[in-house]
Amino acid sequence: MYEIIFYLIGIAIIFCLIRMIKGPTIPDRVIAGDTISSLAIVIIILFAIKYNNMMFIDIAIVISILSFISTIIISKYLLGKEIGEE
Amino acid sequence: MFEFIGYVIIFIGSLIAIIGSFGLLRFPDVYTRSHAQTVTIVGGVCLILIGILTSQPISQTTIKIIFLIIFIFLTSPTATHAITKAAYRSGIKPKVKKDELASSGN
Repeated sequence: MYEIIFYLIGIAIIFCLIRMIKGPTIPDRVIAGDTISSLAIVIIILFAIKYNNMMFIDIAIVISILSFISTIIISKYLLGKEIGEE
Repeated sequence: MFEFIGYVIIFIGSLIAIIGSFGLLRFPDVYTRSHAQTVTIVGGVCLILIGILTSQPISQTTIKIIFLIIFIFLTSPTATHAITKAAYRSGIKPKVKKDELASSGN
């Protein structure tokens, strides 16, 4: 059952990867990368459930935190401000 | 029984994820692409995680997945708002007939 879900999410990641390669501006690439990291969280959790190894769920939590922080930092970089400055 | 319902929910969520990422490929603009990204994350990823919760018995793992769903619901719209605001302020024009945010003097 889970193999079909792996293939479907793989197709979704390929769509995001095409947009990340040919996206004309920087925010396009950042949005595509954020989507890829969220889909990778799903693949890691399905892998943990399928092979009954629950260590991978902590890795998924860390990846979600890192993708949020990197998106916020790149948006602050595009605005040309420091973190915490309005 | 609950296992079968969980599998159905996981399958629907993966179909929504494919539809959202296809919209990310086909939409013409940064702002409409951010809409497609929200469909992928909130509609696809969170639905797949809810399906996993339905098909598994309650343990330490499901508690962690519940916290992960709450975290994704909180942080994904925040990150999308920040990056679209940065895109507008850095000079990318939306493809609309009349830009009401620019005419409001903001």
